Parts: sequence; C-alpha cells; structure tokens
Amino acid sequence: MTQGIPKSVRDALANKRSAEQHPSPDLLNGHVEHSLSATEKAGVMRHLSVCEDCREVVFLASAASENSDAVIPGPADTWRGWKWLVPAVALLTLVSSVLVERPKLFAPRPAAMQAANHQADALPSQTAGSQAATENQTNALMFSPAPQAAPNQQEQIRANLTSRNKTSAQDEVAAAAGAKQTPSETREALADLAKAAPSLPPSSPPVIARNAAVTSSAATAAAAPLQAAAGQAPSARAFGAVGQSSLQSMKKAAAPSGISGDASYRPLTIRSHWRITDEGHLERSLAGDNWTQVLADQPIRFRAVAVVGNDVWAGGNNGALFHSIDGGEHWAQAVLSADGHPETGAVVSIHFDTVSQGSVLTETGSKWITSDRGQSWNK
Amino acid sequence: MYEAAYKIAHDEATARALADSIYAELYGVGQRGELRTSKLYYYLGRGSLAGWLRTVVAQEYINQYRRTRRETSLEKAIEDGKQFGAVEPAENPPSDARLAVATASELDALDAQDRFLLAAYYLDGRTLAEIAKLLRVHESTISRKLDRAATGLRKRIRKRLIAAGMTTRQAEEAIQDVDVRDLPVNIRETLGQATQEASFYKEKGAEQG
Repeated sequence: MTQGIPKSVRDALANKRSAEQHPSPDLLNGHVEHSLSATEKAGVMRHLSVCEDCREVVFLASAASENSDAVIPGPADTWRGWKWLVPAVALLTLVSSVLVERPKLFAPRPAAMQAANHQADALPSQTAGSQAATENQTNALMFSPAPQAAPNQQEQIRANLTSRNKTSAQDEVAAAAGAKQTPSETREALADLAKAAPSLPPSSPPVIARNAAVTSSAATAAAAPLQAAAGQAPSARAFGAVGQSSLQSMKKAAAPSGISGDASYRPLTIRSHWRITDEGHLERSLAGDNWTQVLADQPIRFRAVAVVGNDVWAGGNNGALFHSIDGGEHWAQAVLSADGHPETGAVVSIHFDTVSQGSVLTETGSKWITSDRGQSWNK
Repeated sequence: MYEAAYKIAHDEATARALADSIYAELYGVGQRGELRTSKLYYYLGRGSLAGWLRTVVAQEYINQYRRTRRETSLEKAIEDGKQFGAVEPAENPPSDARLAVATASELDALDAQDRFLLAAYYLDGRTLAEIAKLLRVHESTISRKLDRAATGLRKRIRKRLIAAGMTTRQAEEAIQDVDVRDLPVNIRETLGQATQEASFYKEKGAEQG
C-alpha cells in the first residue's frame, strides 16, 4: 500500500451512515464465526462498511474469542500444515505391514505345507529368484514327498512347466478357468516333457498314485510324464499332477489361514481337488483340507485320477476306469476292451488333452486312446 | 464471561461491571408486574453461545464507552487544559462539488467488503492482523485487497472527474486534495537551499565586481 485513500474518500467514508438498523448480536456473532448464509453475510458486511460502532463490536468480539492468539497460516506457511503427513504415512505403513504380516506369523500352518516348505528349502538346485519355480517346486513336493531317486529329472520337468506357464499368460488364465488347451500346445508340452523325462521302462516298479490333485487340463497334460519320472524312484509312491491352476487353487484355499501372502493370484472359482490315498482310496476336497472319499463302494484300489473341466477320470487295478461328467457327483464305469479282451492291468496314468481326447496307460504298458469322451477306446 | 469482558475492556473493574450487567440481562429484567424477558431470548443460534455472549459484552462495552465519553466532567476538562486549546477548525467543504459527487458515487458502487476494508483500515486504524483474523484470511491478502481497492477507487474517481469536465491535471490535484499544512516539506532543508543560493549569487557578484 504505497499510498492511502484520498482525503475526500476518507471524509465520505466517515460521513456515511447506514439507514438500516444495527444487526443483532446474533448476526454479528455469526459474522465473526463465519456461520451466516451468503445473504446474511452480505447484509452484515454492507452495514459494517458504513457503521463504525458495529465494526468496533465485531473487532472486539473477534479479539476476545478464545483462539485470539491463533496464527493464521499464510501462503508461505502452507507446507507447515502438511508436516504431520510424513509421520502419519510412516505410521500407516508400519501398521499396515504389521497387519499384513501378522497372519503369516501367527496362523497355524498345516503340517503338510510345513514339510513341503522344508523340503523345498533343502533342494540344492532351487533358484531363489524365480517365484513361479519356487511355487511349482513347493507344490510338487507337497504332493510328491519322495523325489530322492530322480531329483534332477523332476526339477527339469518343473522348470519346463514353469517356463510354459510364464511364457503363455493366456494359457495360464485359460487353464485356471478350466478352459481347453489347444492340441498344438498340448503336443508341444508333451514333447518338452518327453525330452525331460525318459520313457518309463516297462520293468519299472508299479506306480501308486498318492495325493493326486488335478484341477486343469494343463495339469493333466503334465500328469503322465511326471508320474513316469517319479515312478523311476523305487521308494517313490508316485504322485498325481499338479499344474499352475491347481497351485493357484491351493493357494487360494490356503490364503485364509495365512499360508500364502502372494497377492498376485487371481481369484478363481472354487473347484474340487482330488487325491488318492496310500490305501488307494479316491478322495475329493471342495475347500481346505476336508477330504471325502468317493466311489467308496467300489472294491478298487485307485492309482490315477485326472480332471478336465467337470470331467473326472479315475482308474485303478484290473483296468477299472470311472468317469464323471459332473465333477464327481455321478460316476459311470468305462470299459477298456479290444476284440472282446478286457484290460486287466492296473491303470497307472490318465491323460486328457481335451474333454473328449485322452489316453490311459496301464501297468502292462498298454495305451488306450479315446477321442469321443470315453465312449469308445482303442488300444 | 468475565474473562471475555476483561479481554475487551482490559480493566478489571470495568470487566466486573460489564459481566454483572450482562448477567442481570441474561437473568431477565422487566417492569413490575411484567414477565421478565431474558436477553437469551434473542439468541437465535446463528453462532455459538459463547461467541454470542462475547458479542453482547462487546456491544455493552461500546455502549458504556459512548455514554461515559459524553459525561466528561468539567474538572477533568480543566485538568486536561481544554480551555487553552486551539479552536477546532471548521470542516472545510470540498473545493469542488464534482469531487464530492464522484467520490460518493464511486464509494456507493464499491463492493461492501472493499468498503469495509477501507473503513476499518483507514478510518478505524485497525491493523492488517486484526482485519485478517476477523475475515480469516492472511494479512498479505488483506494488504493486497486494500491496495487494489484504494488504487481502483482513485482511478475511477479520476476518470469520473475527467468525464465531468476536468482536465487530467485538475483531476489529479482534486484527488490529491492537498492541504498546505499536510505538505511534507522540510523547512530547514528548503531554507538551507535558499541561503546557499543567495550566497552563491553574492559570491558571483563579488567576483564580477
């Protein structure tokens, strides 16, 4: 303010008088506390501009207010109002990290998962940087606890599976959703796996499926070679195949108990999990560790199970092969026979590329192929 | 309430008197035979009750101040030496009616808040901090608004004077409205310059002679 107002203006201001009545203390207080409406505020301001007494009242009331010593921050001091932000963000981060980590630290962990993790840590060729490989290893170990005889082959197979899962995100999504793999991709996978896993010698000991959990066609595609690889170990009890989608389902099921904290897993629909116990019982789990035996009335010692979408295939001794098209609710027995000679060897591997195309391996080395969803089988 | 009164009056006795007076009015006073009417009846809740009470106290204080100002005793006036004071100069009317008209018109056209700022700062002598606190803005904002309002008002008055027939210089002089007594002239320096000038000519004449 380099210069004031002209004397004529000063005189005119001093001589101005309001024709209106003085505002009530209620209005003046509302003006001081900025609680008036726009209309009321304009009216009071108009009166204050010409009434010295009311100006005096509002200034005295304002000075007598409780926060009269408060300093109104100016534009240059604006940043000071945000000083609390830094400790607040730090505190928020700390609290959120504690809340996220707490379930992991204190939640009870299933014994099977703990054992699998211990074995995964013990693997010499495990690469720490590959999260997917670690998950696959852990998952595979969880369902095949005795890979001592052929660890290198199994790791190679898992590496192939991991690379396939990594390079084809769409395949992964399709597998997770239970979609069908294209035959060409399946052939590639089989070719890769065949390179990694040598063919199963006919004289190898019988493969007993245990803890098989198959939830997708991609997992099914890997089932046979993995079984073959695991079957070379004399002490191995063999295992069913577990694919990426199965892993995701398991992670999803385990997430509430704090086992998995990986947030990158996409939510999946609840799907059934399948396994075969040491006693050869076929069991199903819809969620968690709640397993229910199915086909309990059949005097069959099951040794292989495969899942393609809602189709479930389970095979056991004496060439027994059962098929369910509704996720295991209802079952029908398929007959493996050629020229009137039924199959007598135990089914050790079931492999389906699509819902309708698949093959079955028996312990006698026979391979049965179907291309019409099990309506007919050719040797 | 006493604390509020003390903050306003800055005097304990006055604050006590103010607080007691307000208490009585809040309790309600009335003529004999009539119902007592409490001052709280006029509290309509536009602001907080504490703020309303502070405003009532401030209003009462202003009223008391105006009453007592007019009741200055003759003894005190004599003590103050009022009888020897110079005669108050009569209010000089504006030199040009056009200036008064232009000023009044522009003041009426001014925004109420700008007029409030000008009156509070230039007439009442309020500080920027007091005005800023009342309006809940920063002092720099008040300063900027005041500067803008004063400059704009001056320009508009000059423009109106020119439109009324004044020349630019006349308008400037009218706005300046300089009283000789208000001129910031340094008499000593001016006299010094005159003396130096006279001595210069005197010396010059001596050399020529």
